[in-house]
Amino acid sequence: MHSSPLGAATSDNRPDEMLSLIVIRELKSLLLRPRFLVITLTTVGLISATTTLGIQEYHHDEAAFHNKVELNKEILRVHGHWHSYGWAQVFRAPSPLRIFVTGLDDDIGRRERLDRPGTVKLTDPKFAEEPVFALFRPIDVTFVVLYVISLLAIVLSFDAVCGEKERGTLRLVLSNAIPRTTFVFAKFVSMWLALFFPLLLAFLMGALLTTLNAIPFSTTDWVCFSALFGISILYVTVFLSFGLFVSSVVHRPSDSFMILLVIWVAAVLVIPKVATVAASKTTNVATISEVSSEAQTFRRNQQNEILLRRNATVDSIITTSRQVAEGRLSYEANQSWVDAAWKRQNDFEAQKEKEYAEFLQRLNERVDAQKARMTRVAMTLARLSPSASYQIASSSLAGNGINLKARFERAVEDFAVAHKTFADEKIAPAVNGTGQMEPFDVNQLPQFVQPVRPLSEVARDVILDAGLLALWALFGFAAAYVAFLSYDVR
Amino acid sequence: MLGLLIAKEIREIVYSTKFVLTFGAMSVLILLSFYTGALNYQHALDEGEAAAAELEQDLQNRTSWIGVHASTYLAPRPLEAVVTGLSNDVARSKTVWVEPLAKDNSTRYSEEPVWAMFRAIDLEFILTVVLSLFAIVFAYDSVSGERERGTLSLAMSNSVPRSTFLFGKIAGTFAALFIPLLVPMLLGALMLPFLGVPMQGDDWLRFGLIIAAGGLYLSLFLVLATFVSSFVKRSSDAFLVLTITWIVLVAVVPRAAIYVAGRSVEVPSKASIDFELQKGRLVEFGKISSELSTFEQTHDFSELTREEFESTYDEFFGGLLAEQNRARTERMDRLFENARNRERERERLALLFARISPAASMRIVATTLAHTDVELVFDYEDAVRDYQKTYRQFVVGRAGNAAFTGRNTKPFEPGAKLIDPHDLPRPTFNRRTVASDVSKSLPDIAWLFLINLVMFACAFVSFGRSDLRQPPG
Repeated sequence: MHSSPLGAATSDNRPDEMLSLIVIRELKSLLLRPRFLVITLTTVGLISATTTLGIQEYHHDEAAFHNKVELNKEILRVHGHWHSYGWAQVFRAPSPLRIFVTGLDDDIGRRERLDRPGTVKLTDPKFAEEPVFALFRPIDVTFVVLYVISLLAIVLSFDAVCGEKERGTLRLVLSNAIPRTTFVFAKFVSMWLALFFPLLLAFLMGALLTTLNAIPFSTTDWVCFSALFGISILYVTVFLSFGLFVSSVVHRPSDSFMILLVIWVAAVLVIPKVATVAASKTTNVATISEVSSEAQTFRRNQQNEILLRRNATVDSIITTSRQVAEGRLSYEANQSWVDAAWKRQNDFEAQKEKEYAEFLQRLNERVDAQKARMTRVAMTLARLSPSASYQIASSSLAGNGINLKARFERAVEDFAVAHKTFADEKIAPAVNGTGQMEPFDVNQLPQFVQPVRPLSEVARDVILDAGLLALWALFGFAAAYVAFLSYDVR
Repeated sequence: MLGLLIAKEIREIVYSTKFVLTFGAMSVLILLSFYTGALNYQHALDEGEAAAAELEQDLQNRTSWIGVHASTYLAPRPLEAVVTGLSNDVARSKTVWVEPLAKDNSTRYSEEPVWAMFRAIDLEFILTVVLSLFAIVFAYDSVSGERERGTLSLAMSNSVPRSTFLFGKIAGTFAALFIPLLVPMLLGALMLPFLGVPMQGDDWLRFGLIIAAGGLYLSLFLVLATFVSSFVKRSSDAFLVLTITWIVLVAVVPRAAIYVAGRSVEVPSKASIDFELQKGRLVEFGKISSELSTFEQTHDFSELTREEFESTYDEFFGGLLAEQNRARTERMDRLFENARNRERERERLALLFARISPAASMRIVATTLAHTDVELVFDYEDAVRDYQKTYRQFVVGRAGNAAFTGRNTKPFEPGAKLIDPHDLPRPTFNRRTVASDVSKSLPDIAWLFLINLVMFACAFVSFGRSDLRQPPG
């Protein structure tokens, strides 16, 4: 029996023993090198740093949120009567998960006025008020995994096969009658473990930091956090498997690395951004000018109608006034007729106002539907890249993804109606003349409850992208497997 | 000798697959960035035109002074197509009323979150992030690779001074990487006018400076990579060190610095300013109500006609409101000025710390020259507040106190206009001059240059002492 680098391993051994032997060999070569320590320290260090920054920002946002709510209440108190219910405002509270995934949290507005029920628009995003933080946007766990860990995955895997070939060890290993399937599998498992444990450690650090800082995480939040870990692992696996694949196709590590870098740039930087542009070009979304001019045309036509009718009314009033002057009509009769004529005119104009408001609403709904469609197309196209899937899934888990604005505005719409109804009831006695209004009490006004997503909804939002990531990883590994089976090891 | 070394380096790089792939990918990215930048520009232009048209129509249909308002819109500048900066984070459209009111801010990203989801790459991003990464990829084995292949000792045996060799390597790599990329960059810029983005003389100068800064920045990373390559024995280790350095420098330091330093400065929130203004308004309203009742009680209106009564009343009431407005404006100016000073302090501190990373310097230079920096937001807000005062003067000049009471003192004539939109004073937003922007950027450019020198010195020292022999095995 000749001595082999694997000690006593021979083709007589059971395949799974061989697999674990090779996995151990691989792990040793990966983990006992300084580079593994560097990778672990980088991963844990980065995620700890971003978590710390996230916690600081969360504390700031929480304080700012409570401050805004209090100030708004105070203003209502100073106004002191039910008529001023329109001064009430609704604010978007920061979510603890924002510590790990910033998503669109700072881009979407945080304030909604309640004096326009029927038109809801979140305004005043953080970046508009504090622009210095928009220059370099916040760094969060998603950022670290999306950009850094995926690069590290490439660094680990780009020379998995072709590097061994270049060093001459590939031939040596396979000459020990190790089945190729075992080898490629072992490579994959060991690389995966070499990234899994640092990432696990990093996420545990993140959890520890937030617990130590008494951040209020609900059970749902913890489930989402665990799921975030899950899809992060999936995402990293995708790049590991791509790396393994390319490594099993080309023969020089430097070529492998370049190709993988280009794939990385394409997946992370290019495809998602191009998708949005492509979607905007291929779907029909009315430009702001078009919407505006449609509204204006409608309004202008209305104004002409109103003017014509008004002139007619004025003409007939002039006529009847002349009749009064000529004594053919009594002043009182004319006056009551004039009053009625103006009332009809005002009713007509009020009707036109109402029609205009309805027209605007339909117009806005049409444009919103177009925009929603464009967003859907953009998301679909972007999903050609696993990076986009990861971004979408992670921000969905944190609740600050693409649906944040619509979801919050819907909640505010409902609340605005309830709020107005309540206030109207309080005002009613004065309006109807049936009695006195109760004294104003700001604490009686309905309080806005931040919308909470049930886990089922979160799961629904995430399942597609998680599935896509799993498919990419499987595809990458399958491709690597097939490629390696026919790889020239000489 | 130096020329030979540079030529050799250029040849080696340009003829490699590495280069072809990189150049191809970068060119596509660069051209794409100009295209998406032009789209962004068009969108902002479109929005501005719509806002102006809406205002004009609104004014034409006004029949009473209540609800009359003007609006301002921050028009896009051509270089926004090259450096996005904060152009999508600024609230471009602002409504301006006779009374100074804090109104809602909406930005491109807050209105259309799909664009914020995957933010577009602009040329600045390519220079700051992508190009620096590729610099590392090309230069990480500039010394260690040659050493491993055995060609280093060979080259040095030709009695080449080490400094010449080093400089030749760096200059050659720089030339091979940067000069070809000038082609898609210029092409993209030349494309802009055809995509509806008109570039003026000033803009070309700014564009040139941004590219030049990009060159300085690229060379910085090349020198850094060469330096690391000269003291780390194995190329693959050099690569790992450089990747991590790149991550820390480009991704982590600027953001961490800005957040840590920025949050250390307390800035009064818009909400607290709003609150102060609203509370003040309510107090004033109470005062006005009591003064009006006093007026009513102490004056005898029985002898006046209806018109005379109305005009006397309006004059008094209007006078009260004008005084209130003056006091409120004063208060508002004080509040906003204080806030603005704190904001500027925050910006200074945050950016100072961020500049530890050359990537921050690069972005600061680019956004300053393109006028899409933090100052843009401040300057625009200040300009809007100034315009509000101009506008108020104009309306009060036209309507007298009816501007505050909302009551028309003249009977409405069909066809008559309250305000001719063409008479309305135009908001002015003075853009910074090239000279001032260049002088603002000079410290950062000098900093980039200094880092280059320091890095080169380190590389020179390290290379001077390193073992040139091929490592065994």
